[in-house]
Amino acid sequence: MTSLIVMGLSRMFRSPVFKIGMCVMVLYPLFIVLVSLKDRTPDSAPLNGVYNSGLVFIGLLIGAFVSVLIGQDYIEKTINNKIMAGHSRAAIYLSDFIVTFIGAVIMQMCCAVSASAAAIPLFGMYTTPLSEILRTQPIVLCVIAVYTALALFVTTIVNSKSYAVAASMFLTMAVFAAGMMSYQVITEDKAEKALAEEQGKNIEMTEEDTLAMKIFGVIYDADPQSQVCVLSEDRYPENGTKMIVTDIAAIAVITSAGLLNFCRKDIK
Amino acid sequence: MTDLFGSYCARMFRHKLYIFGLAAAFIITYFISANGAEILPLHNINNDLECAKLASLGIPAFFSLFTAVFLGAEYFGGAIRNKLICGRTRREIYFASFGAVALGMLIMIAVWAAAALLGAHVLPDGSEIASCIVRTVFYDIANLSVLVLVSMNIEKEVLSAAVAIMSFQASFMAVILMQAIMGMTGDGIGAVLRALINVIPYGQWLSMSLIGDTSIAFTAPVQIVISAVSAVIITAAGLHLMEKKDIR
Repeated sequence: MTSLIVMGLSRMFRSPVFKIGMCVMVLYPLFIVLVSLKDRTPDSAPLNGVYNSGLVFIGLLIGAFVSVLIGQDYIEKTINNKIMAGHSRAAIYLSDFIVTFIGAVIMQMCCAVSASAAAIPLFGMYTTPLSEILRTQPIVLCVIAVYTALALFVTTIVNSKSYAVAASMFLTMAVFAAGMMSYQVITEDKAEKALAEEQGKNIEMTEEDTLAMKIFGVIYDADPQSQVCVLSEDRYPENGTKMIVTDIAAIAVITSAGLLNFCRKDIK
Repeated sequence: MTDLFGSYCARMFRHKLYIFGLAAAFIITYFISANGAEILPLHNINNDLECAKLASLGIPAFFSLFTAVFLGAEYFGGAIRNKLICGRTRREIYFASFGAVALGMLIMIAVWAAAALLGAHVLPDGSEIASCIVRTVFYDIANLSVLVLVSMNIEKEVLSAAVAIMSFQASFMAVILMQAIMGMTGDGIGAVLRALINVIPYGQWLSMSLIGDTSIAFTAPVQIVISAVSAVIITAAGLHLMEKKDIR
């Protein structure tokens, strides 16, 4: 499998879609720093959390880059060559997952480096403790892995690769939108409840509202994009462990399903 | 050019994805128009057409895939080369394909409008409905000109689909970000961002949707002129690129 990973990495680094993704992840935090510069005063607070700013749309980038990179394998029949060379289907699928995951992590690292290179000299060192930043990194990795597993799964199961690209990109966009919406709804609900508790009031909810809040709660816990929103608060989330466990379970389920499908697939 | 346009239309009306798209446009718009006020977590809904406007984003989203798949097949099957050998000019091919997909989009907008009006319980006055539909037509055509440019100039179908959908995602994210940044910046940068939002088709959609700030929208005639001018410029650029292209 090592040879597959090495070969996949060398192809990935030459891929234009990967390069575009890298450019976006490097330029976006610089853009944020540039916008913040306008209101900078000598005693401005450091730009805490800017190193994670690219995470907001890393899912969309993963959706595009994974589907194009892996879709190209099918169109150019490289996948047939790999099978003929004696590699097992499980090794091919897992190596694709590892390669694309490494690519996405590199994008995120580039974002953190470019953000820090611009933000620290201009606004000073982050006040968030380093231990806190490091503690959030496993969640960041899990979020990236969930998006990668999802995009790879869709690209594998859809036969026509144009449709696979579209399905992967629209699915990641749907996950993105659902996560953002659930984060907004749950945060507003928490704030409302806190305010009511402060004022000694009791909020009565209808059965339908309770059900809706339960659904949003499940999406809030499981959706990688809502986890990204929680991480943007720049502290280790209250339910951080739950997030990691949910993500690992999601990765295991999605990857197993993709692997099962790929092993039974008739590759022409 | 009429027979080329006719053949594109005949192929498009038989395309399963297009038929599915029309059905989905009707069902989704009708559902959102009829139930949006109850199910959407928004507090600023005045009438049901506003919910249907949210659903109208599905039209450019659908065409970002359909245009790439439909026009990409021209290269994949070698049809474009055959048309050139038969003596058709690149200009004819470009305009016929653009015209056919534009007709497809107009039909989808008509389906969307019909579903919105049928499903709505509360509607605004007629002039607002007409203005909304006309603006939707123009910004969707402007967006379509970008998609045709991409599809007619990228031979690889997968790459063409990826670029087209990325253009949808990127411009959607860009206008949301620009709107957020407008609140933080001064008048100078704010004016530039406002102009940019009104130039980008998705910005025009955002400026008249429930999740956007309606105060940033230019007046309807100005938006229509911007869309028409950008459609002409982008089409001219696309044609220029295609005429210089080496078609294999």
